[in-house]
Amino acid sequence: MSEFAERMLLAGYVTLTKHGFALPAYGAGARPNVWNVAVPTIDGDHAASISYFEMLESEEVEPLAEDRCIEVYTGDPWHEVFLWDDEIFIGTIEQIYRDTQRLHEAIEAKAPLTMLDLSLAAQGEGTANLAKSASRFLNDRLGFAVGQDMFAEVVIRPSALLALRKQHNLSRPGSEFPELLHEFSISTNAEGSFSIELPKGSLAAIGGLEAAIEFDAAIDALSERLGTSILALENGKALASEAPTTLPEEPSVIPASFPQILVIVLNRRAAQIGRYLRIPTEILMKTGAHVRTAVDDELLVGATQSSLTIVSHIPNTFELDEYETIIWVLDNEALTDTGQLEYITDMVAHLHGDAVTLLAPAPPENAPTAIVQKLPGIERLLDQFDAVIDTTLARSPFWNTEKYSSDRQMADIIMRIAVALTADLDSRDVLLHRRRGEQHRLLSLQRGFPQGYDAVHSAYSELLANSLDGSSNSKPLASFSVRDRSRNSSEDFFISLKDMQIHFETFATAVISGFFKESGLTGAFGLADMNEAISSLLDFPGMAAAFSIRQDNIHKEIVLTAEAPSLGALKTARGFDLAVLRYTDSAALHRIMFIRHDNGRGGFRETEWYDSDGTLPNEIALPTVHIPDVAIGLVTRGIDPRDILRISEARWMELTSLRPASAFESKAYVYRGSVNPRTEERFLAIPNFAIAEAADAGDPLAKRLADEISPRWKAEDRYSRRSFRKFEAWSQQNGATRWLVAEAFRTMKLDVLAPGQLPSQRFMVIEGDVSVPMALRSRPFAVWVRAMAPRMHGTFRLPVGVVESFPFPRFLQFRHSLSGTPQLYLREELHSEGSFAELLDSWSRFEPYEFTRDELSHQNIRLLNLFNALSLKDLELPEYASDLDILDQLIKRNGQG
Amino acid sequence: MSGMPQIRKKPTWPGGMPRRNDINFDRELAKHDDPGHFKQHLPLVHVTPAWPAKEIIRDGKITTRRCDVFEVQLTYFFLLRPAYRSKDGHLASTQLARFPVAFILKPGAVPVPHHLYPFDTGAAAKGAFQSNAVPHVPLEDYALAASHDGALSHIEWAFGSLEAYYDGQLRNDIHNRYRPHEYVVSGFVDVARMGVEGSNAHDKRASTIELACPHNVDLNGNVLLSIFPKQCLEDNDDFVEKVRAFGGDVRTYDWQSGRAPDEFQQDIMRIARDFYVAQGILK
Repeated sequence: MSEFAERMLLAGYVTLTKHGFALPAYGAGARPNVWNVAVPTIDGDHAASISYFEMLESEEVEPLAEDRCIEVYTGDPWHEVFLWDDEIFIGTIEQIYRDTQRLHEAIEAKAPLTMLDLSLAAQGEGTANLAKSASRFLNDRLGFAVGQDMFAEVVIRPSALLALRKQHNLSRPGSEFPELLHEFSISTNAEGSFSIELPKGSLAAIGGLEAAIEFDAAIDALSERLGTSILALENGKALASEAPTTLPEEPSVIPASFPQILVIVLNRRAAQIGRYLRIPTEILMKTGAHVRTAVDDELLVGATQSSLTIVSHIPNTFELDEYETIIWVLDNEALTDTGQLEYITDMVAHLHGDAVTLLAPAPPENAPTAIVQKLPGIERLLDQFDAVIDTTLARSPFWNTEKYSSDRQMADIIMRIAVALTADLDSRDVLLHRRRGEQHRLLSLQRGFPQGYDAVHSAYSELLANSLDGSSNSKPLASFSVRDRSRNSSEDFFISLKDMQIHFETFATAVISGFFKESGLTGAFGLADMNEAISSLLDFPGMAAAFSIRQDNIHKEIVLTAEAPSLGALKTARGFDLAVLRYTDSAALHRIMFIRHDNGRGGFRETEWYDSDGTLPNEIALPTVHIPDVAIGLVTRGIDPRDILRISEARWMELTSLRPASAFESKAYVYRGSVNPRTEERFLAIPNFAIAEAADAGDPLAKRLADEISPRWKAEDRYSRRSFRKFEAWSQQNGATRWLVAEAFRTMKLDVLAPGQLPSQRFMVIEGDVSVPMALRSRPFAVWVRAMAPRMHGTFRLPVGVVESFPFPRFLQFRHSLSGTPQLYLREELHSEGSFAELLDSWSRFEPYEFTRDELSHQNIRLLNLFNALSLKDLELPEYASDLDILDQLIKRNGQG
Repeated sequence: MSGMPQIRKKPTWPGGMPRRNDINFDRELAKHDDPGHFKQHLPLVHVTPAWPAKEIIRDGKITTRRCDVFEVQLTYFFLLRPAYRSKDGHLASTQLARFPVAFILKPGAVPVPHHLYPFDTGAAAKGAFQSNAVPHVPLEDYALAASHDGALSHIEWAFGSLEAYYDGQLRNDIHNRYRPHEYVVSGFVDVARMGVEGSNAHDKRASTIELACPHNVDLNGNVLLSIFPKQCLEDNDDFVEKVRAFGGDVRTYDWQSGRAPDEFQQDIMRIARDFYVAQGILK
């Protein structure tokens, strides 16, 4: 407290309701002439301190009895006044939480929102159950739909806003909280999870990557505390991992009177797309029909509800009878397996005539759908369907959005078309009246309104390109807008029905021409003859086009493909001075088109993961790599949050100080939630099984904790040690350093994990000597990660397999700890050999912590350069080898190992 | 002793707009009478502190109160936009700012308005717009045509769309839409610029249309939506049920003792906007 701190007396309050929090009022004395309110250092933060006081003009202040007034200074912790049944509680949030302990049940019963506030702010336990009560309460009072929206509004939004404020305050203390950061929206997903969508630029506004990671961690922690899943996205991109892990399985109850949509998702690849399938919140047809989701029980007049059933097996014919729209999501496995193909063909052929049957291809991420190969079996299958949904539009440059992963967009295209057709009877008729033997038809979803739209290219895709456009049936089949209730805007779409036209050359020409137009480049281009050698190395040679491009006096030859090129194709192409790239690889196209165009002023270098030399496109088809046996288990993810009880250190000390010491107390670990632990309150983690075992043995403290967390225990989880195997051994030192690794934007973030610490799941832990940070910061590792996980921008979770499959240089070796964990070390037998001498000399004097900094010292950079040179030599490559050569050697090395 | 009868002048406040004590009104603003493509009259918004809000619900009506600017009994509303000022400059924050409740009513709740002004007259008379207002134009001259259509015509002329009005964004070409000697109009534009996001003395009241009527306004059948602090749902008085009985919807915002009044206003603006969008009133 500084000597300038302002003193006030908390001497009254203004009530909002007779129960719960009131507004504390301050005065110079117990009966002041002028009332004031306190202003916190962080808005809405119960744990903030008092920044200053400002005047309150109110006649409604209830004064406190003189002996209950509390002296408070600016800089002191925030104080609350809490009313309950004629009792007045005054103090910090923790004090109030403690003092009201005997009333918690009553508060939860009567005022569950207030109880949740109190418990969240005071780091109380059992918040997930309180959140359930709060949610139920809101649903009871306001109806399900509004209740869910209000849960997002009054529970999730304030917590998210506070997390943003805290990060903003840490990175830009004292500066004004930007308006932009208020503008996030929260959507409620069908299964009861939530997404927080931050507008573009939010993460930069709270302080960039570091802050984004912390924010993401705060949202993770919030999810955990509320017992629901909350995903944070910026501009549509996940801050962490995007995909839900499971495919929604058959929902059980389907009210029979609603239009029924059945989606059949077969095999692995289709399931990847299938897991994003969800009905849009609300669709308004231009015909006036109105569809809202099945979770919504309050319908507008004249609206219909639609419901969705997803199955991952081929149903019996009679099961299909009740559906009005049946969509088969088929991947190449289904389309090329003769058995499946014939079975499905037969089944669709014998369906009753009122159901619209659609085929939605689930193309591999790296290549086109097998439909483009026009095999007789597939043609016969297509004959049976009313139309094909053009899912490949999702990755066409003309679809014009990068908001979500293309898998998710494919799923969205499927569902928007499905729901629109369900609501629009006219378009169903058009689809149902198709004669056998006619050209196969394609349903394309397009944005905006049909009129005034650049109709020629806007639906171009792998499955649709027609040099003679102005086509006959280009009248839109249906127009509608999709509204997400949580967002302010709705988006307009229309569906067009056209003949399927697979003309890759025409499509690729449109792509290049579009690129010229958009980038403002000058130059000329034309189709060229396809290089036979390259063609023979492609899986889909029919889906490739060669171009000759002239910019100023520079001549470039490129081959645009529908599949990601293999390393073999890339190397062959280099021999012909040709570039081969997939049409979706806009970053690579950009690099090629601008290279040498910039007259050596830096060019366009990839700066995202590290500075690459630009010889690798972003999309490459790589062979399956394997993890060598010795490396299995090298990387451990941190602890699964479901396996531990997280508890603040203060609370733990309070609990343990009340009781005689017991062996159970030694089961608590220090929880590591971030790379750079800030000054925030420390958390401890106690394994669930340790609590369960000690409770069974009669330890009173463990019993109490078990009672608090048991509602969220599944029986089989109670003693589960699933993510603990390794960490259990960690109470002893085994000589190795444990490196805490977090994936970050341009590099790996590293720290050393101290004994007795338990890392959160966002971290990887690798044991070994300084080889670990050296290897993880080396150039070959960067090339490896970029090729193996190319789409991972921003913050992401690197699959453990990418690290374990990495061919570490042979001058490193794996040793195994007593518990069998692989550890990475420099080979001892090298100690005296030439260039290793310097490396080793520094090695022994090395402080592990020195290598964890983002900015290395000159000495360490020299060391890293030496390590890089040795790594390349180990790969039998020169020091200035290209990324392509490095990757090629790494893949070979992986194959040998 | 005889003499001229004493004419009591209308009240003024330091920094506030001058008043017109004669009847030579300059009706430049009211002459904009083309509602353009707007067809639907706009909802009425009444913002009040939580305790009076409970009384309003108990009584089933918003009752007139004596207005110290016009010196008559009036009920006040804003059109469409739940604008209220959380504090006046450096003045103290008020009960209204700390515990706001908004009622949104159907336009038909006040079929015949008593007056319409293009901004909050209380704020104007008491000096809240001092920094931007032309000193010589009297408050009364800013009056709009006293009808729901008058409001639409004003919005069409000054904002061009309901969304722009909601955001306080004047038309970009507003200066081409009047002649230099139209002092009342240019005076309005100067004041209304305070309603633009990011202006130095930002105050949404400066461009929110105020509507007053001389009678009590019944809630029954007239409520579209009310927005409360979430804690009100937990209160003994069951006014969610009551509001619903009046035919209206309920939304809540997050009230905390440590949240700034400006935040409540932002929440209410956002919740109301979402509601309007869902109703098709705003895009």
